[in-house]
Amino acid sequence: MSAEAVMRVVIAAARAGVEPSALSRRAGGPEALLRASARRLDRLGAPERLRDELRRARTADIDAYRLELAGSGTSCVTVFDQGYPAGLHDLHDPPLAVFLRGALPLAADRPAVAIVGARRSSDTGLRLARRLGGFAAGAGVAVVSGMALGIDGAAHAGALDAGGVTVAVLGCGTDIAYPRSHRGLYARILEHGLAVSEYPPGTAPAPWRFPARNRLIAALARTVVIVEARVRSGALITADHALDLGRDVVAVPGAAGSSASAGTNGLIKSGAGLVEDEADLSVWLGIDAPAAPPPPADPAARRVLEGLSGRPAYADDIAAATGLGPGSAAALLSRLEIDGWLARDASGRYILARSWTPSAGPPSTATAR
Amino acid sequence: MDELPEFNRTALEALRMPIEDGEVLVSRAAGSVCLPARCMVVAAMNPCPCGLAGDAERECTCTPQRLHAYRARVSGPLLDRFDLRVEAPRAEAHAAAGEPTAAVAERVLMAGRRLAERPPPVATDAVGILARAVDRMLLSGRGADRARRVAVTIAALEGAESVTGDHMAEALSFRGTGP
Repeated sequence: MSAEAVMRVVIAAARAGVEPSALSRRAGGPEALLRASARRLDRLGAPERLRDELRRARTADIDAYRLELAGSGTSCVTVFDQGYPAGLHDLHDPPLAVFLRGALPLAADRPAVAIVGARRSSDTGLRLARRLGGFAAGAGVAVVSGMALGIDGAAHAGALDAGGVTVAVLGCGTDIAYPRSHRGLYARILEHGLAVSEYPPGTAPAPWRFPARNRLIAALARTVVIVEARVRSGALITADHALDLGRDVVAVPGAAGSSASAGTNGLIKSGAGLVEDEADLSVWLGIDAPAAPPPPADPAARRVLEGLSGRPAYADDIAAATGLGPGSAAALLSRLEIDGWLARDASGRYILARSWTPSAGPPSTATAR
Repeated sequence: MDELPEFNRTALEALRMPIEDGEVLVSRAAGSVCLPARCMVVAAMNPCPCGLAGDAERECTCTPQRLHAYRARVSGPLLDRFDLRVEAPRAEAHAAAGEPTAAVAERVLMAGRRLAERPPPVATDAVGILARAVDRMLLSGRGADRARRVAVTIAALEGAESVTGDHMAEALSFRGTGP
């Protein structure tokens, strides 16, 4: 097998609008595919236009194709090339070639973490994904995700906001911003990070490409963090791939019985690491834990933070639970929000914006030996 | 205006001027006329199309796209012009009765008089809280001005001598989510 044969298969597949890797594998490699007779191609299930394109690709000008890709800022690296992302070699079915677009050359020695999760996600999950993405990227770890709505997008945005590096693995060509509402995000990723796809430019997003894309996400990272996932979700597919590849899988727990976190809770049950905040993640990534700010001195403020652990609440409910009047509760909540302890979700409920552990008071005799 | 996001988008955006300036400008080819439109706009909306987002007991069934589209119908600049934004969680059937309306009305009249005669001055720590909120990008410049006015009103309702940090913090809690 050679890089040249791979490029010829890629060119044929791109022109014919089919995926290069799977067919080539079935044919016994790119050379075999290029040499295959019409009858053999027929048996392999190659569409007729691919047969024509394969014939043409035998003499195609590879440099001209590379130039054409360069026109849209994309480069193509084959599995034989130096620039091929190292982690992908661990796959049992590595893509023959990947398309890269963006400002960042993929450095093999840069540590990477994948942060993925549900498209339909809670505000708490979104904020945590953003925080974890920002924390990892701020420490020089590349944040890999799938640019989907929800958790994926939040992880990318957090990394970008922290001035760090982020890698989007796409289920379509690098010339297509999908989903459309992430056009702005995609532009930022291209400017400061990298987009990776195994599909040639022009390939439209399709449902079956996303699970396949997830194996690349797992392969590109050393640790995979699942922030929110229902059962049978795409993020769990990524977790499965990560386990197959021997990557660390860690998950953010949800409330007991919550269907939005049934997938992540299930992962933890079967042995995945548990990550609630930056400090937990730092252990898995081997980076320094963030400095913890001192908890607020006001006992009422501490009561509020304690009551909010893991559960969003409306101001009225907090006022009732703490026995503060509505006015005092509102003032206290605002101060905590300004100081960065609390945030509000899209429904206007207060949520913890940073993890909080009630600081140890005087050591209790029960725990002291 | 019940179900605010169900109104026509251009109609909603046309509300900005009356809310902000208390007048409305009608421009036609033949000329334009400015009409007085001092009003109090009271509006309600659901947290999401199915109405269950943020509900403690039942799960919202809206897709992210539907949720986003629903909330995007009320623009940030329009939302920014509402001085008081209050979330109303599911009402409890056995909730205690509030203060009688007559008592509230009297307090409001008193506060109105105070504000007209001598509005309470804003104390330094209140200014500090507002500045920190702006620094942390929790609100826009317009939002800050609105919050300041709400804080003065809260202080007047309490009959306080000056606008304290607590008044300002409480006023900020009415800015809700977003800018």
